[in-house]
Amino acid sequence: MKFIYTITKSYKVILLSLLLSTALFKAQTQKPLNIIFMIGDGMGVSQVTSAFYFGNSEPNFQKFKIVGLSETSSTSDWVTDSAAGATALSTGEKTYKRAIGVNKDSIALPTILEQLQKKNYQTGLISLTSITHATPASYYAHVKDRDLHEDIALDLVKANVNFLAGGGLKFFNKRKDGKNLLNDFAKLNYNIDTLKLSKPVNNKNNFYLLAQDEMPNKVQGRGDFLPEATQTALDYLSKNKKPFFLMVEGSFIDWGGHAKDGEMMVKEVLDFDKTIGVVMEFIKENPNTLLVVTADHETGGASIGKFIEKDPATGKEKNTKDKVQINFIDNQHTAALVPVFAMGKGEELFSGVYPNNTIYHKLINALKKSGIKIK
Amino acid sequence: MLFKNYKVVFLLFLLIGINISAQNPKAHSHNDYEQKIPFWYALGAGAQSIEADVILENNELFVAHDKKSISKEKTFENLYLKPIEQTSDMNLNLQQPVQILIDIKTDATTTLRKIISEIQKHPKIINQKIFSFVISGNQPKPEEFISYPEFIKFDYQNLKNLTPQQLEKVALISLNFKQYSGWNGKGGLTEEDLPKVTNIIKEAKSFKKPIRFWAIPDSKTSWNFFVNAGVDYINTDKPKDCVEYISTLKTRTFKNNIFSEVYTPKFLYKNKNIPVKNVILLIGDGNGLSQISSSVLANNGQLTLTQLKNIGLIKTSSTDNFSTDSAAGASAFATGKKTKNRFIGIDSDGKAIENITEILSKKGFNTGVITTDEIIGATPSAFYAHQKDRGMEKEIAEDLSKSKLTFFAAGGKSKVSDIPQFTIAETPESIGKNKAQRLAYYMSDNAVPSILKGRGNILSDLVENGLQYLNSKNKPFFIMIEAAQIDSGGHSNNTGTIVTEGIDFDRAITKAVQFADQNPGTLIIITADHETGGFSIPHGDLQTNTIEGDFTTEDHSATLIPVFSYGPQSETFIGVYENNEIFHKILKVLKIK
Repeated sequence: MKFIYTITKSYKVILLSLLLSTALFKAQTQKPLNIIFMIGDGMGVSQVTSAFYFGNSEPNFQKFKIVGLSETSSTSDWVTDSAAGATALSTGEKTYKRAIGVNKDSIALPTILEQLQKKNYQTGLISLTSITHATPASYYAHVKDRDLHEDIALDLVKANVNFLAGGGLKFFNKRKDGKNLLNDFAKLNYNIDTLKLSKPVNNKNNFYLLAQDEMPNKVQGRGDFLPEATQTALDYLSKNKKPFFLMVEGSFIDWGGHAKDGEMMVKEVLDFDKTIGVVMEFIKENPNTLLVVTADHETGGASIGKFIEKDPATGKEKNTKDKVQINFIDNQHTAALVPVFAMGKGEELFSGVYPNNTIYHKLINALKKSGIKIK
Repeated sequence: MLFKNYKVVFLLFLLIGINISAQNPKAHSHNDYEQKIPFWYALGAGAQSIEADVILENNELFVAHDKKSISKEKTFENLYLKPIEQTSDMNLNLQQPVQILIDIKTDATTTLRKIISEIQKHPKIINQKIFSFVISGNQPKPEEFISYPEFIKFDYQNLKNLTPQQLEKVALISLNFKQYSGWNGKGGLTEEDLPKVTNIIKEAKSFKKPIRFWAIPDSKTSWNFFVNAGVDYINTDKPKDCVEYISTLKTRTFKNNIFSEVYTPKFLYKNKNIPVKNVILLIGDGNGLSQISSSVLANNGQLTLTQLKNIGLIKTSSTDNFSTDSAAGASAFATGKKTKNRFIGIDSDGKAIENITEILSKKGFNTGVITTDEIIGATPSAFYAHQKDRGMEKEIAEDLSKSKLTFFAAGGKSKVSDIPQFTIAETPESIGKNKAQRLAYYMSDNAVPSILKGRGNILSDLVENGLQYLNSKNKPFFIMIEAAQIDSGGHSNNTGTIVTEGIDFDRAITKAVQFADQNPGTLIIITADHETGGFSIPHGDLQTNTIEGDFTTEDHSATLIPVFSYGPQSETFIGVYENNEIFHKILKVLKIK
């Protein structure tokens, strides 16, 4: 309407009809948007930077045009954790640390995954940690503490997520209550594989539980699980005519920071970047897709600086010019703004500086623009 | 907008930080004998309390955790008494007092008797003033304290009352932290534990003796909590890291008291195809994302800067180093070519390259530079000079007199001889309406004072007036504005400098954005040459605008640097790219080849 006001009055009618017809035309051609949401746990700007210095080729991060910055504080502490961080991203509300899918009064909130299921979306979650860990859990579970893994696993039984890949087998089949939840999943038409990332079964939900606890990290030899699981999920989800929402977590970037392990951090960032490449290829073929990459917080106060080493001859410290090194201030989270990268339909919504929970609302806006009626 | 919903804030600081803060927190080297080099490592690190567990076995005093781990050479005398004697033989001129906390693992009376006789074998030790001996672990009853010699004091591990005489023999009070909380040292204490711990500290403090907890988590977050809670000796297995942390806590923690009034930009340029006329390039020297984050947090959660929508990231490496310096960084912006560190306006082979002020002045632009550095500083000089080292101050000053600049305002008057081409303005306020053809203003003879040293609002006054002056010439202009001293805060690891200079930068940015809203066709680019200090923000309190920063280095880092842009064609500056691209993008939007 605003647009019409700025136009000379005599053209009003013509314009109005023009607008109406384009709107109608749009409604016919609009297709519900696919969303791929990638969370680099603990991935601040220095972690992203490491992809530029340690990779063999130009990082996929360089291909993004849209960059935003997200402020990550929780309601209980301005240095957040992965539970409050992921819940803000999945529900649109900031909450207290340790909260999974509940608000600051511990009341369950609908997540974007649940809302989209009601709109006939397919859904998928991929993580390197236990699938019951804070970040993936915040998309389907509602519990007041992140450590309630067995309760979170019960919530997953009810969640009807079409594609699941990660670790955490023991929370399903070696439980204190003696239940074997894998039987429940089997009854619910899930294809379960606890050994390898096999070919998904098309008319079933697919659940890959490939470690008792978390998957190995890159240094321990995880291989290409993350990009391969992402490719598998995209193939599986796009076979259908239905739109999808897929969350992919690069979990160990955070763990690299906690361990103050530069090598692990860098290898995990590069693995995440490679996975971004898989998604970017998908977007080329499927332009009706929005990719958003961000982090829940920064971990370790990482910085990338000069490589200082002792000269063995003189014992003096010197700056080795062609080497860089990762330094950490500590093994904990920090309050720095974290980057947001977006590509695809609706990417322009993600420019600027904003609180982390508004990322959820931006996703909802992008969905609305693609014709989905959603609150 | 940011942090709007934020109400519950760091209970720790509110409850304790302000009320009882330890004046001089000291590190206690826990189980010191387990360090690779006992005693000397802790002493060299600056720990002021060193713990030795002693065991009496076959009338010999061993330092060990239990009888199983006794080793023949590791006697109390070899590991502690002889080294203490050596410190006076070597004339080390130690200043800080150091207590040797002797934790008796065997029978109190006989072991203590042996300790006393061992110490008495070294009269030099008894006569010195630096080292004191405090008995912990198994110890005699308080009633017997006074019967021991002058050089023996006690570690009281109780909160029962003592007589004044007994109290005189007490050197410190130590308590088991595990009794009050199972905290793991991450985040903060739980709401149940926090009052328990603060109350017990208050009670212990009533003895007016230094206090220590043992069995505390050994992390920075934990050290931070106990220092702020008023604990005097911080128990640690990492004496070097702990001393470094607690001794720098003051300069790394800053309660902010200067603010930038946030301006909401009008975004009038949106969806209009306005050609770019004027370009304002603002450079925050050393202003990485954590620096910006700290200014945001200290300025009540927002800045004018964070109202802007178009964001990019640049890679700042120079041709000879991953971490650039300001010379190579500014030269990349000014000439469009990456070059070596220390080089000013020349390429890696040493050849002078035409810079943006030279190119644009040929096209009829007026050009200017404002900086809170000296005019011959690396960043400003890259916009007018061509020299092979940033330290060649005389040659750079000569380049200034040959430059095409219409206007500059900076410090460092004494470094520049006469420049008759320029009229010298007397005050910042007189610049705006000045009719001089070329104009300069000096803020100081040498370095410009910092905000913390009372520089005041002069940067934003100069920006407002400088823009008015250039605009009055009715020609397009290019100006580079540098907030030079955010970098100094990174180099000196001073959080207060980073925060105040960052907020002052935002006041300058506000003037630029307001100018752009009043003068369509003005494009603003805000970035930094590099990050300084490997800065990050592990703790703080939004309600009191308090920031604790931490640093990994005193040098620059290579992390990606944000670029904010505002005005027509500002979307050209989004994405992830190299720093020298900024130059090419500016020429592109001005349609200059």
